[in-house]
Amino acid sequence: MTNEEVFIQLLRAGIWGTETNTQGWPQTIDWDNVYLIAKKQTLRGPFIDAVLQLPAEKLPPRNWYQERIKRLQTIAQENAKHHEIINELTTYFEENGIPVLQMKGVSLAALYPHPQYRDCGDIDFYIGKNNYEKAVSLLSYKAGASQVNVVKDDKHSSIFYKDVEIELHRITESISIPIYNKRFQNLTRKINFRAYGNKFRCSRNNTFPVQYNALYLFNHIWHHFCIYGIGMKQMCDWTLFLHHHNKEINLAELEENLKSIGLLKPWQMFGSIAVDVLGLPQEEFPFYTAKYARKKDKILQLIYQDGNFGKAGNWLSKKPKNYLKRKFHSLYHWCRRLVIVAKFSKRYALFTTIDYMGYGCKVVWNDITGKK
Amino acid sequence: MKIIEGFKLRKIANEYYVLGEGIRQMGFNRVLLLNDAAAYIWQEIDGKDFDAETIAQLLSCKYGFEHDEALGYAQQTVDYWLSVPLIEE
Repeated sequence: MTNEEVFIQLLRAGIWGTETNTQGWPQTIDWDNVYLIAKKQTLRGPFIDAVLQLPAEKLPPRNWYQERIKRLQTIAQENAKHHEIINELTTYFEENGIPVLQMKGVSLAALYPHPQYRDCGDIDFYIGKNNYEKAVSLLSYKAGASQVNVVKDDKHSSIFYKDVEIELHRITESISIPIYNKRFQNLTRKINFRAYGNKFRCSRNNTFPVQYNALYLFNHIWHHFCIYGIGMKQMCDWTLFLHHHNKEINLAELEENLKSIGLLKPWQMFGSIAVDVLGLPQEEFPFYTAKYARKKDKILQLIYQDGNFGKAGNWLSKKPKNYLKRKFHSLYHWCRRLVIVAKFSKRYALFTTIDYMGYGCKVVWNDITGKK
Repeated sequence: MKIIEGFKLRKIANEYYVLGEGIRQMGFNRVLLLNDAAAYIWQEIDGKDFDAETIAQLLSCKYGFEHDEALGYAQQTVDYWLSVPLIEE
């Protein structure tokens, strides 16, 4: 049994709250290496949580797991901090006449058996186009931020508040294929901020309606897969979302929406990870088909290689310092990515490459002419 | 007194650990191990108001200590837990 297989057994226990299946485990396990996989996939919390529930004879050495207890505490503390900041900022925005919806993050953590152990990232708020500028100004003022980082195409801005990165989204996601993008933005426009408030756990958490979230979460996974890569954490989030909400999803509407943005086939391909790897019951996965089972191993290989949002891929860490070399390095990355994504969707591969190469050219032009 | 919100008792193998998981434990990065008696007390007082006398009674009932001896152990426990701090007035 490989380190990856041991990791998956523990991860399944961590995300489903079940006992780890230790059948077939080798006599000795390279715990540092298995932990490294969990770290690369930003799944240290559920992984450690599962390790600590192993029977005594299967546990790693005592000093090893005591160190990981410290990490688990830190993850839980960060989650508590995120809850507090979300409560504070939601109230702050609403007092200033801006309704907000919290994207991903703690709203998905709530679906884990132990929400406090889902590794934290940033905090994402969906603001929408109407209040976006005002929200950015308000948060910049509150955070005393001198610099606001605006992401490509003004999709969102990020500001640090109390040492946590807060992303304010003008749009939830953009799609590189114009006609698909138009359809997706039309669906986003239908979101009624006031209608989807709900309270759970300790956070005052307004999030997307289930029907939209089903589409958005996969579109988000797919978007990152097309550009830098995707990690197992996003797959776990998606899997648990479908497990908890599959009965609330209008399947006919979801199918129509997935088809309208060309994602039904990729959805089914990635479904093999949710069902066959992470253990989601087949009947809980909409539109499951074994037709694309062959893609599972390739997706899994890319997940292990790229890690969380592609951050573990060598591409980012190996960026040269020299300007021109850096640009050619990026060009090389996009050509390689084109080949990878084309195996899943030729249309997306082509348009994403054109989109990001066009953006790269714009950046170079601005650098040459001195424009900001 | 009461246990500070955010501290959780967790059994790992045959040992009991206290994990600081709340907002009030930000920066708390220790591994705190409780012996069986301390873990028993913790489970009994978790979520309740208590004092050294409460703990002494628990020790007397469970382990058969004389009251004065139990009170001595209870006071030591309270002093240590206050010093960490795991509990508050």
